Amino acid sequence: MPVAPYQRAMLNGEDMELAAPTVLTFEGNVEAYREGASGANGGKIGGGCGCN
Amino acid sequence: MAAIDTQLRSGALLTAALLLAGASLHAQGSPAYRMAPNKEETQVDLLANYYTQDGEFGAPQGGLGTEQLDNLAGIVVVQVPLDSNSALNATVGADYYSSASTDRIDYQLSTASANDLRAYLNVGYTERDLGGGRTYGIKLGGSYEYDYTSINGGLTFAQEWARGQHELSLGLQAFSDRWDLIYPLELRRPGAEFSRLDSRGRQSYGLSVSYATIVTPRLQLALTSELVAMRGLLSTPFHRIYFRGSVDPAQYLDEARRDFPADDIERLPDTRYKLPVSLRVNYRLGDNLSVRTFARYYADTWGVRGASGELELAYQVASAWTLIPSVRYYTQEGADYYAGFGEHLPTQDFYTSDFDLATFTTTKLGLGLRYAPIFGLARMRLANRGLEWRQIVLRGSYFERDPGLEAYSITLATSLTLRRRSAAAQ
Repeated sequence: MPVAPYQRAMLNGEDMELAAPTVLTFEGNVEAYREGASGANGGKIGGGCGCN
Repeated sequence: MAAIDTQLRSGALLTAALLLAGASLHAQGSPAYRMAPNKEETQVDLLANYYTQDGEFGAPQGGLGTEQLDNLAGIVVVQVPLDSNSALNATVGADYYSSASTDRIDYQLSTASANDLRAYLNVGYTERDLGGGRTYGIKLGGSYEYDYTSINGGLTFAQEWARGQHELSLGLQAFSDRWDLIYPLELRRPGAEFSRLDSRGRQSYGLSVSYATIVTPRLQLALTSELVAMRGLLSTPFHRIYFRGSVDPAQYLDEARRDFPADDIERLPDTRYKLPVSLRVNYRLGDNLSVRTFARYYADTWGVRGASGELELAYQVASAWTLIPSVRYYTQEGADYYAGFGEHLPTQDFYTSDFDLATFTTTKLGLGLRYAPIFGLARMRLANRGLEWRQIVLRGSYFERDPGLEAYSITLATSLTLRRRSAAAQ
């Protein structure tokens, strides 16, 4: 169903962005290190040993 | 292994299907549509974080003992428009940590391995074809810590169509990392019977495909798949292994009796393929309430399976104040090569007692508070530019792994905007 640009006012604003919020950057890193799963979230896939 | 291969093939098929769907729908796009040009403003985000954890399964000690860690981190993100269709961005950051677990590498507490600094820099450039709905990007970066250096590069491409209602984006990333091999102290001594590692490098390659679409005037979603291939040294050289029967765990936990030499270090295959698939759905429930959800399924060739679900609400309680509670749940089936302290056999080819690769669940509860007045917290003139302190966000979270780990995190984030004088006057 087409949604015209003038119908998208409710989708504006940072709370509706489809990227992970910047403020969650650090928590995302912790999850990538403390859990075996990572990726598909716009974050990094390498760099740093994550060994701490 | 066959099941994982099937999943990887399914992921490749999903990737191909997304590409074909995007190409097909692009052909129906409107030639009159133009993407919005870049805003004439430089944005600066400043973030600081304190994180603390403690747990029971420290990997440097063979999977038994403290996981205590404190980390202080800061990031600066700058986005600078060069003109209406091109922009530069840069991220610079540093982490300073204090770890009781890595301090056990040499069992002389409070030595050099107890603290470290990781610093990193990433820069990117994007160029947009406003009439064609395309965005091209390139990025380069690197990071450094005492035993590990990493450089990376990447390319991105995105195509919008149907007046921006749909977007397909592709990303290619490559990392080249290098270890300084640091073994547990007792294995560094002359005469230690121990097979040293012959590789110091690690390479990671990722191909991501994402399809984002506006479904209704209140609902939008993004489906993302990312195939990651890793090769090289994928184990950690200072993670100890104790074989079955070699040490009594009760004696080992006694801090006064640190005289148990490791039987070996962690050994893991030199290749690993990962396939995460995620779905993010955002729904605007009312004028003051947004609902954000995120779900991910993950599988890799080491046998790890993970599934996570996350719900976040953004509720504007007053014109400038937004309350953002969140909850996340994750469940993991461990790697084929994982077993706990003193459970591995020397006849195995691969073994790890790193609990990050075990079977467990995690739960995270978070609460954020954002203060963003319509005209900013403060404004001032800088030469011929206007500087606005736009907003401030405070967020705290509690993270629990079952079994055996608790963590707390607190983040302070703020945003500044620098506009040209003509733009600032508008």
